[in-house]
Amino acid sequence: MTTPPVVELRGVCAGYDGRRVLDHVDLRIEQGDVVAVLGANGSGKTTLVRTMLGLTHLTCGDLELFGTPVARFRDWPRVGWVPQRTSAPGGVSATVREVVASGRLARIGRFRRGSTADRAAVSGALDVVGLSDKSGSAVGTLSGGQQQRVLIARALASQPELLVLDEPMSGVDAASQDTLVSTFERLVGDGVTILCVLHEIGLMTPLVRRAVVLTEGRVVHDGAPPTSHDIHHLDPEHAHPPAHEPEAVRGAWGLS
Amino acid sequence: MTMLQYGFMQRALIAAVLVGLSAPAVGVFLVQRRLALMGDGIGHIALTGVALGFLLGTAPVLTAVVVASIGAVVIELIRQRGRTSGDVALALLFYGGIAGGVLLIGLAPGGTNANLLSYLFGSLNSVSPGDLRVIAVLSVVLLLTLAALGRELFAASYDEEYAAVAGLPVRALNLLLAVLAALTVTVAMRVVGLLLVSALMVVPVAAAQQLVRGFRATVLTALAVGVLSAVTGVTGSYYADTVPGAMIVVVALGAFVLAAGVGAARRRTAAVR
Repeated sequence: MTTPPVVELRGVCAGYDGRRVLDHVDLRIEQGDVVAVLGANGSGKTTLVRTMLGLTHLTCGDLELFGTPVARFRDWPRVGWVPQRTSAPGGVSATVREVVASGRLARIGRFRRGSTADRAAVSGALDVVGLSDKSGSAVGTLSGGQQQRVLIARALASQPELLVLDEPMSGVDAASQDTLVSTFERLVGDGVTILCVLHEIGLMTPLVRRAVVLTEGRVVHDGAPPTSHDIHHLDPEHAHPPAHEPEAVRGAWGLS
Repeated sequence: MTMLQYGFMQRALIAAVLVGLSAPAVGVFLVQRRLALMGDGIGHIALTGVALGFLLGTAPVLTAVVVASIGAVVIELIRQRGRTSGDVALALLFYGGIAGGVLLIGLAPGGTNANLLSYLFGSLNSVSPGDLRVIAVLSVVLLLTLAALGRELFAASYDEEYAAVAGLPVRALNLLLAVLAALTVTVAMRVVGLLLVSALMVVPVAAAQQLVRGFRATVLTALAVGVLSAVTGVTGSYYADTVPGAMIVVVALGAFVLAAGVGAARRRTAAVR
């Protein structure tokens, strides 16, 4: 028996209020893949992620996580989600450790106290992102990059096999971006499958093995990450129809 | 202390301490979700429940629990579904609660608005042993539930979508919180009154936020402020001969002002250093 792909989408459509955002998307992610999802604003990157996480319903097609249809998937601790950072994290301040520990809850189970192993997983996640010394600080007092690392640690606390990140580099200063890249390097080394929505591939270039480019909800490129050389010879016809807007695709890669 | 010679004062003090614990314990999650005024809304709706009790000749506390719970669940369902007209729907429920209460009390045999006053403003000194038992049981149920599910409620309040993706039953947790808030309102209505219930859910939390960082620390500090305000308020009202419910809230507000001053002074010293 072969292991099923981590994520498989076959002809997936999804949208909001009758507006179709994803248009028959096919995508297969195997264990250990490091995939960047690229595309202009409004191309459907975030909707793709939300659909994979069961937050947006399918209107057509099939979506499986670890071989189970998403509607019946219950093994959520295997998936770590790093949402786009929001500026308002609730009306009561919480410490870094409290937020990261909330990522462990699904593994602990209800009405039980966390075990030593659970506490070690939380500490380990803090260590991976380099925030062990900040565990008692209020999240709201940290820099943008540090807050982003808190969200990554929260996702890592459940020791996921698939890590899904939505624009982890946005609003993060250059020094913190370097720290994040080395965090991802470490995770890739541990065999974690990564799907990362990016506005531009930038510093992630050495890590990403495969890029998926969305334009108007369709996959227009799925393969090797684009290099600047590719951009000059970009032919959208070659990747897939539709035959329009190489400009949009180029912009999507952040190299226009 | 001479005031403890009286049975009604002993009961008043115990009831106030129980409410001083449970109101901020639930309130902290409402503040976390930026729903600080939800307690107010539920308080309005509970008034209809109180009047219904008079009309049916049953204990107003029981009908208040039922009606307030239904109202809280409806508010939560509207919040989950509705996107645009949520606040208008809430406003409709609030006004409906007050109007329904005044209307029903008029229909009750011998009922006048005066019957509602002790629920609107509290009447701590008339808490009977039976009332105290109800308050004690509800408070203990509430605090035990929060102790058992506090982590889950924190996760669902901090980041609802993330909690859902992490596999937590977010909808059920939200409805549970709504029912807990309704229980708190009915427990607290005898102590501080429906119009001031929300103050005990919110003010101790706001005071705690001035002093500590972190959710757990905020909860513990808010509980301390709640109990302290309850005891000081009841004692103060005994000696100053004032209404205890209002006194408790005024003391809590004083604690907030004090905490804000201490917090600001601390931040200044930290900045200088």
